[in-house]
Amino acid sequence: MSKRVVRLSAGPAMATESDLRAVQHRDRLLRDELPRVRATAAAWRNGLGALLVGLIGFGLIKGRSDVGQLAPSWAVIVGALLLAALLVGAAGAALLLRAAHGRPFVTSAREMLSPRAADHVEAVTSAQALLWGMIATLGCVFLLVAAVGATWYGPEKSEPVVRVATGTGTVCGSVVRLAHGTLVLKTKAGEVAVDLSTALTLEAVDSCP
Amino acid sequence: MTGPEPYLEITEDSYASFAAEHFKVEEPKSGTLVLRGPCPRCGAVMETPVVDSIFRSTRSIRFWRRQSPPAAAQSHVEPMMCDCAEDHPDRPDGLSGCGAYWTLTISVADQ
Repeated sequence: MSKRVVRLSAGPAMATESDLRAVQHRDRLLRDELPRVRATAAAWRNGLGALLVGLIGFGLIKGRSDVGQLAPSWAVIVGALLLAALLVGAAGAALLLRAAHGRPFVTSAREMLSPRAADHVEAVTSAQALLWGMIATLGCVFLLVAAVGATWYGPEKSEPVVRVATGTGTVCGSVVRLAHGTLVLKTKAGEVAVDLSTALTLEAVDSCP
Repeated sequence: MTGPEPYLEITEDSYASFAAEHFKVEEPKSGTLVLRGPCPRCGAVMETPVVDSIFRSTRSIRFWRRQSPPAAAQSHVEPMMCDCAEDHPDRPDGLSGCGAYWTLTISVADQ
């Protein structure tokens, strides 16, 4: 494995005043870099936290209260979206807290040989955490909206259906009413009355053909 | 007994060669160099990070990337100034060091 060697030599030309101004500007940016990242992260943490509290706590987005009313496949989709929103939101919150307050661990003393360089490395790492925290939190909001949308627009769970075989054929549909030995089924062709005294078989099925 | 030299924005040919001879280079993390040594003018020990990017904006999330190639990965000319912590008289607010400035060529090679 090759080793990198860094050598210093005098610059090719005399430094100019514009060089000095550029270095002074960079020096000021570097000295304030970490507090700037922390302040930005705290502002985003508060703003995104308020957005989530508003969306969830005050019910600004609300779907069906019972996903059991949805078709089973859609209920699974909604459950997966809510689980993903929970995981992504937790990751986003952790990243935003990491950016605003730093790592909750001790730092090796050997890493502190250069305080200004250590502050810069921490600032860059925190800025990356802030960026990913923002993406994850907004992703959580997107997943929540998708879950609520699925509960709004997903198909309802189908009603239980029965199939009745008589000497003249088979009728399949959901039960409308049963009175005086006559069963009325709601079929695709409309309501059909079946005289149960003529029924050969009566069975519950998952769906009609 | 004389106090610290007053702040004066000045450069001389000898500053760059002095710094090139006396400064040590460390690379605590890829993309970040630290140049450490005595200031050619005031003699105070200074420590200057040479970085690839700086987080700048408080209104938007972005990095200010210098147009030059990454400092720690490529050879380049680095403008430098004294940024020592000494208290030099007549120094304007918000500035650091004694006012001396120069340029260094940073050469990176694989061995």
